[in-house]
Amino acid sequence: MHLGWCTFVWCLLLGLGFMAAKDKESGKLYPGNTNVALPPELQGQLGKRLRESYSDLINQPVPDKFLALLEELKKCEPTGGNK
Amino acid sequence: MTLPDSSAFQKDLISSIPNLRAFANSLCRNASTADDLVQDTLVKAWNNASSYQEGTNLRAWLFTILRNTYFSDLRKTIREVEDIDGAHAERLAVLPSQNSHMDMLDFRQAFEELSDDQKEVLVLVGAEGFSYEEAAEICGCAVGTVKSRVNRARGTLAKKLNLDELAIRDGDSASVGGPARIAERSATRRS
Repeated sequence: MHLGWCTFVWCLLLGLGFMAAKDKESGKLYPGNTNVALPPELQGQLGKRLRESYSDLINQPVPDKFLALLEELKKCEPTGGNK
Repeated sequence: MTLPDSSAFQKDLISSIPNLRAFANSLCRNASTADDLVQDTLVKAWNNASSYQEGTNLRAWLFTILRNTYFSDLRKTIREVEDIDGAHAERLAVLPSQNSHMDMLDFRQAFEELSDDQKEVLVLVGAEGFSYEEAAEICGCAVGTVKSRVNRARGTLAKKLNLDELAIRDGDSASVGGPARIAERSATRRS
């Protein structure tokens, strides 16, 4: 009887532990944590600016030196190890 | 171990250069360091072509090489960080001005003040559209770490740009799209 009760409590604790681990795993964020996700609207605004800024960088012309470098590299076949 | 066909591999590398330069410029504080980093990345990619598995995401592979090179160089030469103000201002001036109104300059300045860890995840997830899982793989850290860095980075940006006042009205969540959200959704779906 006593043993049964102990097993019950043990299982309960184990179950709670599992649930806590699961929450942690899913990355769910709780208020009060400094790591709180911003409201979607705000995330959208920031994302838009980030992408605009980044696309300016992507749209810069590629300097010829990179193409020259790849031409040089091509003279030796791609290799298996960097020795 | 098969080596990729060199012409095709070369072509794929060329088409990745704009993204590699954009990523490098997001991390480095001046344009010439960024270009050196891209060159190193291309040489390493070529010399380690056999470790790239054809059919997998080449851009992710290249980004991994680039950021690993960046962080290991940074450890070697911390002094580089000194060169800054002038060179960085110069880089901003050189950028084509398509979007360079005040908002954008403010944004860049705020972005520049983030830590390297935060910059890289924000670019990977928010601008390149990688999923949290992919970003975690590229950065060699846990998915949860990527998520929390992204949240912190966004929080810092919002504060610096005074956008956080808007956060008080907790908006209707349905309206926002864009790669970051899509990546987030697909990350949730996969987990």
